[in-house]
Amino acid sequence: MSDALLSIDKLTKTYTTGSALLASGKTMIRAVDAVSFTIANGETLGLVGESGCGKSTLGRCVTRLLDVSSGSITLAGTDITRQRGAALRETRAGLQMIFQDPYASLNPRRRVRDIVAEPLIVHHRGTRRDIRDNVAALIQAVGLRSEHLDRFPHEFSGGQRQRVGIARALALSPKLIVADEPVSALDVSVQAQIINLLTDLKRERGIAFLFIAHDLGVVRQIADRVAVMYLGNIIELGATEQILAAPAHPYTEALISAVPVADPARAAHKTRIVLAGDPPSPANPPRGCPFHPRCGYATDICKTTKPALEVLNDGRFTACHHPRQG
Amino acid sequence: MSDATNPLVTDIAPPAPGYWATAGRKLIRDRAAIVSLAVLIIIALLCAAAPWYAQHIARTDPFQSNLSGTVIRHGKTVEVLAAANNPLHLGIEPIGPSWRLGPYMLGADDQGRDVAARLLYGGRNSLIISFISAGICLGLAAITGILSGYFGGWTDRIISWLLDALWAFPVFLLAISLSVVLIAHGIDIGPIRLDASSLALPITIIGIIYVPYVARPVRGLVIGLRQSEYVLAAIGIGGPAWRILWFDILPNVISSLVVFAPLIVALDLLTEAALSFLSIGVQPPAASWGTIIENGESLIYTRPIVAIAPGIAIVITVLALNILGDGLRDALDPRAKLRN
Repeated sequence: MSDALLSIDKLTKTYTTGSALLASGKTMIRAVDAVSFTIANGETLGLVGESGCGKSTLGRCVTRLLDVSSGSITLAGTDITRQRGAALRETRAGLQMIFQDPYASLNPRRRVRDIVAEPLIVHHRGTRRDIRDNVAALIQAVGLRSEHLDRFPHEFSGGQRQRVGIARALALSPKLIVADEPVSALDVSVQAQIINLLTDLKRERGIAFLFIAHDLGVVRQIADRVAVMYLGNIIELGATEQILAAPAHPYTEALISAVPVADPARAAHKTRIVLAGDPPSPANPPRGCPFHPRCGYATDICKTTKPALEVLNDGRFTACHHPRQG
Repeated sequence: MSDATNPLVTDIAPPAPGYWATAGRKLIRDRAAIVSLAVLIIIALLCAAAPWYAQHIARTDPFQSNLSGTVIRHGKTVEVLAAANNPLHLGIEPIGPSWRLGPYMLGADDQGRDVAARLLYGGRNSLIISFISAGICLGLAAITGILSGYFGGWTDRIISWLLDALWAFPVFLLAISLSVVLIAHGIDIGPIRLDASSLALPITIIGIIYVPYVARPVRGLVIGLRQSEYVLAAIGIGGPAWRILWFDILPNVISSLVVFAPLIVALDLLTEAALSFLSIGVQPPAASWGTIIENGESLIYTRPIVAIAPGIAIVITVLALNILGDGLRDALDPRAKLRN
């Protein structure tokens, strides 16, 4: 795809643990294992998976907060994988991030005005007066008021703080925002408000999102496409409704069966797939398909050969020898 | 949507005071800390008034020996240094304290000099040395700790090696070695020329030896801050490193440095006294509390006040500094609520 805004190719992030001096004591952990995907202009890709599957690591690699081990990241036609210094700082203007914990992502010693103005000052966007007006407009765009600008983060609730974080991410009018579980630390009612805000911003400003979450219900509301991650690999990728209605990968199937249904009549007919055991340690992944030890449909081939992410008849991608659909 | 129905904007209260204003209010309510601060200010003012005291109250030159002088005490003329009152009349016995404001209020030392005047002059040097060296120590520790914690890698390795090398020496062994070498010759490196009797020598030595003790915790703190989401957010914005260090790292390190400050001043005061007591700190005829204790050592049986007076001054100052440090720690802890 040449019209992609963001294109990730075989991105891998490995960590080394153990002694730095003794080579024998080292263990390689593949937190992200040769992941590839693209995001088009204005598109929202939801990235879901359980804790520790590497989705946050992937998000931080994309924003270059972590160095990539191998593979490439292309943003708007420019390879940013190994960018440094001034070029990287320029790239960052078009690539912002919203963090998970609104209590940790705002400097407790700075007033909201300074926090939101910082990106504009750093990138010399206008005179002092321009920046002042711009900051006031931004804070209103996220549903707060100018009176809030002279306050410190600790005077706000979690949802309000997250709005400040969103205003900061919007300040430079980025093409892409990586949102790392932006609502998982919030109350459910506040989650809905923030999701609505993000949906509005996406529609009005045409910003593309890489939306990381572990909650499928949240992803359903905002994502155009969904990528499901398991143990550092993308195992299924396709249109949101397609995947949520009829998952092809057994893991996705189990994940969706875990989403509670509000209607008791329907809930009675629902079969819950309960996975046995815990996800394997990424330091010691199973041979073959990473999911086979917990998979109800696994056969001999799953134990020896790792399935590639392949396109099915209905256009989605899945990495499974025995897909349930397509 | 009107404001009345928007749950987000119903709580407009006046903005809270800043971090330091809140800390200041908490400190003012801490009685022990405020008393300590007052004691320190009084001691500093008294010491600053040393020349005035020597001229107008003691009416002697505290740096000039007065072996054959006399002073009027209870209407009689008495010798400042009398022969000792023992069967063999060995040694001398300086005049004792009068406990009244005037000449020889705290008696004389073995050279007939006014102990009270020397105590104030000595305190001036002791305080100057301990405050400036604490400033040097905290400044160097902040710079090295922040750079090594933030940049990591080789910057961290090189700075940590240097600090570890400094740390490997026992503090007093290091201070004594440096002092013995430097005080014998002074420093003469190109444009920097320091006389052996200059106060700058003990200030530099004492300022450097405690740097690792502060730089280590600062480095640890900065390594933690470096991983915090708001620092990651600042990096993600694409700002230059100096802005992140200035706005996001330093303000969160300063409060720790402020808590350290009184404790380091106290430590430096004790170190200065110890070095001066060993004759490798402040050089005569200048005085410090340490040198006065050293002078008083030979008179410890006849006129113990000469050694005890500066000892008490040191104890009071160090105690006040420690209590103030505790108060600052409580005041700057954001988790501690303001008590009413």
